[in-house]
Amino acid sequence: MTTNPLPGHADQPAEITCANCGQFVGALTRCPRCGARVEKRMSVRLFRYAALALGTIGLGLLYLMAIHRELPVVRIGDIKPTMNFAYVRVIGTVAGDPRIFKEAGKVRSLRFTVDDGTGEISVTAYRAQAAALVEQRKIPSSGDHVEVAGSLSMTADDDVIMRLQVPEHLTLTRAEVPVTRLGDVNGSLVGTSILVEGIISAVNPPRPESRMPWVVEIRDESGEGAITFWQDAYPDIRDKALLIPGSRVRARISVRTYRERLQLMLNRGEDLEVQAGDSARLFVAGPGAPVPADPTPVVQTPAVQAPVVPTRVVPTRAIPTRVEETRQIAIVTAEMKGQEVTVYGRVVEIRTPEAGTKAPYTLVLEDEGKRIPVVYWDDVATRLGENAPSTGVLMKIRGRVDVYKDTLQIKVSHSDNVRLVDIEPTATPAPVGEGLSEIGKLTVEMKGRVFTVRGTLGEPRSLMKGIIYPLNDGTGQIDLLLWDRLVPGPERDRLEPGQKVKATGLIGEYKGALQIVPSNPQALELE
Amino acid sequence: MILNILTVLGVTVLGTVLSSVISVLPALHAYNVLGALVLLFYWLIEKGLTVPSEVFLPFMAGIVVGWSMLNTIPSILLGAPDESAMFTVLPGQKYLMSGRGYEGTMITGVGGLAGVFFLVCVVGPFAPRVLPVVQGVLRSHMHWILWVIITYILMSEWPKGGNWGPAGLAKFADAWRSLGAGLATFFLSGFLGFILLYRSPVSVEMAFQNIMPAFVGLFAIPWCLLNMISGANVPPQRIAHSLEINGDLILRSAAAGGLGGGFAAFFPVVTGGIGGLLAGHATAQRDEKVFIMSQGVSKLVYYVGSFTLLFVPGLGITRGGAAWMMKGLYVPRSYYDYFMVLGSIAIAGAAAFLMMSPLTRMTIRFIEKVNYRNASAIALLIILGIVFLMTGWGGIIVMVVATGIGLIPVLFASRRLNCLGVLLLPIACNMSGFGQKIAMWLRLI
Repeated sequence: MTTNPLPGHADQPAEITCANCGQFVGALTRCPRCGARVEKRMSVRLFRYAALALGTIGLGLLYLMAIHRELPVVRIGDIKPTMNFAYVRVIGTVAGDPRIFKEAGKVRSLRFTVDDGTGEISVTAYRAQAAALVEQRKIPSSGDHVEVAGSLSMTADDDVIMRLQVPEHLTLTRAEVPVTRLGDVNGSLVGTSILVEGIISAVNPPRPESRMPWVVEIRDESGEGAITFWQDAYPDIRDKALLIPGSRVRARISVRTYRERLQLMLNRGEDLEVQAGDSARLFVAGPGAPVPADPTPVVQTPAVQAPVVPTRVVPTRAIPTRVEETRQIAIVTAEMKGQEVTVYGRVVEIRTPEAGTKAPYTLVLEDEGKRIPVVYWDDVATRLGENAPSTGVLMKIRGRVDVYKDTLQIKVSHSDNVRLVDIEPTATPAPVGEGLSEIGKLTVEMKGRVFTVRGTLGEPRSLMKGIIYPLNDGTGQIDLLLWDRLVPGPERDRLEPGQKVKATGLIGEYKGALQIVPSNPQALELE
Repeated sequence: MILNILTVLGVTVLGTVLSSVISVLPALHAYNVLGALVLLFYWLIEKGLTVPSEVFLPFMAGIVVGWSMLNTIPSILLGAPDESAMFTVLPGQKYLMSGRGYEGTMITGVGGLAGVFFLVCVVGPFAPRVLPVVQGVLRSHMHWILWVIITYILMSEWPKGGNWGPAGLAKFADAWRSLGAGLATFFLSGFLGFILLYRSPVSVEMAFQNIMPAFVGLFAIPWCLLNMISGANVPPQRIAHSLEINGDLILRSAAAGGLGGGFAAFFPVVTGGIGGLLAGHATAQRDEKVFIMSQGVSKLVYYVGSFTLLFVPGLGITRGGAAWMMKGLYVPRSYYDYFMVLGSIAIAGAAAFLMMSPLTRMTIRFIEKVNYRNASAIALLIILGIVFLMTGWGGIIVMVVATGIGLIPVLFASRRLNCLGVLLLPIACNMSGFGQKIAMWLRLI
């Protein structure tokens, strides 16, 4: 077998074959066939142990080198695709507010954007790390200074994110935010985080079982505003029992716009501080609510921390201007004719009077399947301003119960009694498009038209102001684009890769890829 | 459209031809070259030049397919028997040692061709419907499956000594020498993996190649060194005009190799070596030819399959080095990309197989005239150059340390597969949720 060896094989050292049986043994010191010991020259043995030494000592030195190496700081603008997987630090300020994604009540991820002057990067912490940050109340706010380290992950879509691997790698320096008077809140502050103070004038909690937000109306000497927050923020509010009209609040909120209206959004419950005000002491909000003996200062007792169920706050002792009892539409009856009631409901229909007639404006409100018309005339309609209704929004109406031509209705006599409550219209009917289509049949030519598609969600990709899920139905794939302003965080928390959904939305195209953009949460159904 | 098709056809063949050059150089991995190509594409993008996806997708597919198939040539003809081959010499090397290296290479090539058929004709049509479901089911189980694989790798190592002499401590130590070396290799590699994951000495500008110097050190350099210092006497090789196989063998090999390679392609950080191990254990006891061919199937299905998974509509997973590099350049979106890649794979598979026989003959002629130890030395210099150019001194340091670890299984007769601890251990820990805690305990973060 080994006759006429190939070039370079003629000078094989004898020690690679067994002297006893001639079997090839390579680097072994005992022949695998006959078991005879094969003597090796020193060099081979040395090589073996030198390799072991090189491996272990070298690894030890590499370890020492690694732990004494400072994590490199990079400028965001300098990040290149070749830096994928690099473990680096960035230093900058938080741009915009963080988003917390929850699933079945558990924190799934937390995301915020860091700006260092050269660019912006999205920083994401997943599961355990995100939960730890929430637990440690280490959630950055817009304007905070941060130093954060993590691994970079990027794709060809220019989606660059930094994955925060340990909560300790986020160093947070809270920004000093001056108090902004409510009267000074205007469009120039959109996208910023500000501190507001005021007295609660009304608290509008969501109905039980609904997904609507809380709205706390406040006022100061310069004007009024409404702080909006989602239900998941409620448990984190300290002194919840004091969340009643007359209490003084101080809140760090984000200024946003929704349908061209300013929105004061409270992102986290702990960003709302509540102190009992003079008039608040006249209220009893329920079992365990504070009844301070001494007017000032308010000292919180354990009783103050008693759990308060998130339901309507109904004052039992009066402040004259705020005495009202909210009613469900279903329990407004003809027997209540002449009584003043306050109701909440979604606008399902708006009827405007014909020109030259004295007919009223009519809103048809719906609440839990029951409808009631609300009527008012020009003197009210022309003064509604920001509270002008539109189909789908939640309104709070205060008016007198009336019966006209055997139809129950509520007559409103003053524009202050028509309030737009829910600027996130969770009950907006899903848009009606051109029907269900297979994804594979959608083309760029269909851009600008509304279609409904069904499919399975893939792994999401983050955008600056939204998120993209690849949606596949077996015939093709389309990007399901969920903008923050259209489909808010809590709605998206229910989504996860692998889930089947039905989506209705406008067909768009970006860089050659088709997109479908639902215009509200109702346009997205889990299947 | 016709122009597009012709472009795809042309660049696929071009990529396959380039891969034939990469493949016949021992120890040079396709991913090393792909890394350099990706850098070139980034550079072009920076200069404002966009390369259409119809050019670089088929080109990269051609390289991956061609290398996966043609790399068999140096692995059989230029590979000195090593590791477990001391006891049960790998069938491919048995063929080489009996002058039938050409036949062994071609049988493996047939396995590769079967792998291409398996991917294009069996997996391709069903993947978009089936794999997302499979992924959905398995996603939350990946971590423990990975631990089962690790356990299997460690427990399937067997003692290479301790068979002779009187019972006692010396015999016990002799038996445990290779087992201990295997365990040491696995845990040292795993430790190296932790360091590279969190504090790699490689410059952040080239972080996408963090793991490359480690792989070169763990696998390529020991192979070159072993070829240079401890080769066997290779007899002259005969060129066969027929292969001793039949349809039954091909089907059995495709089933075993497809399963092993497919498993490796689908699961994160499970590599072709592990797929090969699974395929080998499934078939080795029955027929050597099935074993050889299934290795060809497994290798091709792993490398090409993991690359293809990136393009499966609705799946959204990234597996294998080629796919990770591709993701930085292009994110596939539609069936257009999917079918283009499947088509490229089929064309590249055909082209690579047609090149197999002439390349094998050329390599045999080469080793008959040139001392292949010198070829190994030249290959060593080439890969050292690539590592230095791409990752600098930081990469060289990692490579040297990894070489020390990679030589342990070679010299202590344990399995090189243990070197995969560099990926398996840190990723399995991370997927189980305690990787970061270990890294903190090690003061790496």
